[in-house]
Amino acid sequence: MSSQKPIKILIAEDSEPDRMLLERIVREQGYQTCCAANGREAIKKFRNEMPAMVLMDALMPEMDGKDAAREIKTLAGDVLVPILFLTSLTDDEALVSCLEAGGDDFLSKPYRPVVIAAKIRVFHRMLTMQRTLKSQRDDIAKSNERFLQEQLVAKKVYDNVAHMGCLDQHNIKHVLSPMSVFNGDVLLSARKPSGGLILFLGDFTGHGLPAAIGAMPLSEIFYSMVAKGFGTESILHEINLKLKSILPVGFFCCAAMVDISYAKKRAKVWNGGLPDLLLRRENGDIVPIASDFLPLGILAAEKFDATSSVHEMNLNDRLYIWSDGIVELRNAEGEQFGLERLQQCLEECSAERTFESIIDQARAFSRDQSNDDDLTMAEVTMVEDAWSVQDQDMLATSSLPGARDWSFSYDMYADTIRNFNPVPLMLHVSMEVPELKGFGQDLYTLYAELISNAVDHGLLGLDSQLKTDAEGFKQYYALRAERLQQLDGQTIRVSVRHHPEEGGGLLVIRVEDSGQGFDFRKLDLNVPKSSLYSGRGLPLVASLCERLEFFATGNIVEAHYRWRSEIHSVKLPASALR
Amino acid sequence: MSLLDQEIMAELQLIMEDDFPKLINSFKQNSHKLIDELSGCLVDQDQDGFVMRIHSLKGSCRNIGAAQMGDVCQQIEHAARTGERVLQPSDLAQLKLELAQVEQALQHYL
Repeated sequence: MSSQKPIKILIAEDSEPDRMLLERIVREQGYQTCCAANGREAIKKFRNEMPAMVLMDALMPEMDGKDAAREIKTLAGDVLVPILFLTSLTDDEALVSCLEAGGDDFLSKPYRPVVIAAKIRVFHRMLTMQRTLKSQRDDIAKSNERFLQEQLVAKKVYDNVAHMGCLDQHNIKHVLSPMSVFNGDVLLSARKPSGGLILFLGDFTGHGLPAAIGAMPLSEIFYSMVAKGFGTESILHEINLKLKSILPVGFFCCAAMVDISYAKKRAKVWNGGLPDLLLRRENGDIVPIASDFLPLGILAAEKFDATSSVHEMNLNDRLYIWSDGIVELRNAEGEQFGLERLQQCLEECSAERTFESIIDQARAFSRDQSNDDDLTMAEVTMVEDAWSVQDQDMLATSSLPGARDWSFSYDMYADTIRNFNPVPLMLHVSMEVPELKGFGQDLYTLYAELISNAVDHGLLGLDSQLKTDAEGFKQYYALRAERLQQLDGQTIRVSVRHHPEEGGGLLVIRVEDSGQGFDFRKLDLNVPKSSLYSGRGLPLVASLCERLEFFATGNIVEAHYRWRSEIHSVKLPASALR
Repeated sequence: MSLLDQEIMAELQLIMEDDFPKLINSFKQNSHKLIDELSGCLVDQDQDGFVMRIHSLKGSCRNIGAAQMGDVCQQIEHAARTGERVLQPSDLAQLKLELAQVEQALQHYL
């Protein structure tokens, strides 16, 4: 009693001596009291004095106890106000009707002070408990509300950072699980400066905030590195390093990265822990691309391997990528949807409808199951060129004055040639010429092709003829990796000079390697670029340049790229002018 | 059957302390008032009013320890509720007699 706050008890009793006695008994117990002589007065007192408990005579003039009890319970709303009926009635029916009117218990007449005190104490304890519960419930509700609020804000920030990039392209279909604010799935895509596309699907262990926190730096790295022209290997290395350093042990990100080149009609795929990607060729062949690597955020930098597998993709070939949500989808019997069903979808559906029918089948399969809709997947179709004029314009946003007349020379030695991709760096410098941003695709192609020719053919002596089929591709890349390791003492020098001109400029790129050169007089740059896998690089470069010349033993190549900002949009291929 | 229950009287004195005479007076006044009203109900043939008041008087008697008077109330209430016997002014006369006896007994405690 001593620890509890004194509460007020309303005594409604029409007989004055009885009321007097009861009031005295209640006060003796340390409670405050207020009194009423009939039901109507009881209601009035209840409104005015807000008692915590009511002792109510069942039979009273004016308004009897039962009617008053009903009214008081209504007034109290969701606040618990125990009503104890005072009664000498003994028949069951009368007692039941008191309880039905809202009474919580009885005190029988004649009054037994000890019993009355004990009963009041019981109800007082109950009140205290109920208040504690209620205030805890309110605390929980409040903190839940705050939590939701925070989640919404976090979601907004998250969406700004981990936006989906260019997933709205006409050759991409995707679905991202709407299951919760942060379900651990990340789907990112960005246009490469070279004009291709990089797609990333990540599935973090766990859901909720830990997943979201990991996804934010991941997206930042992804978008900024893709924009600067870095390749998938560098990006994956960087993301892995970042996740490894920020995620606690046991948290990681199953992921796959797909690098689509529309120009070269191929996809480079890295799969670390996601279910098999499926490549569906136009002729109906299905090629699974299994996970060869551990997920991101597990291995230390020196042990991490970001080597992609290269897959040629012809027009209308489709690549499917998904998180394990769809594979592990369960039906009412607990069966999994599984890769076999996915493969079957690909075999049986028409190419145009495959994506939608996978979703339909998955939803039908898991109907009424709680895991419904935990689907994150995407389909990319190989097309001639995915980008529209609008996209080009969006890239060329800056009209600020920048660096226009400059040159640089960059020398690379064995270690750098082995381990570093200099293209982003050079692209970065070149893009400082403001209007040149819109020509990123051309610039990327020029740098990438000229440098890779210098490495692959100039230094490593690899034969492009190998790259005529899938088997040859493999052999080529194996040989390339092997010979790169053996480099010792070789150099490549890249010298670039930009001359500003009226309404444009001239970019001269000169690449010199320390190799033996080749008989460039035999080179036929007029080979149509789409007819062969091999030797596609140089004709492509030649088609972009005003001039492409070889010097010395063929170990020096110089490309003259002249650009005009006003003819920029006219220069686009017809396919882009949809 | 005694007029007043000794134990209850002792307990009431303990609880009410100095206010004990007040309680006794209140009981007396309340009882007279109720018996007057009961007469009125009898004349008006107001059965509900009669039952409510005799019930109230009964409870009051038992609380104060006037068991015998309480029992008389009980019998009258039962008759009034069931209608097994027509109530007469003589019933109220008996109640008045009981009350007079109880009042006399209560004097010893003041």
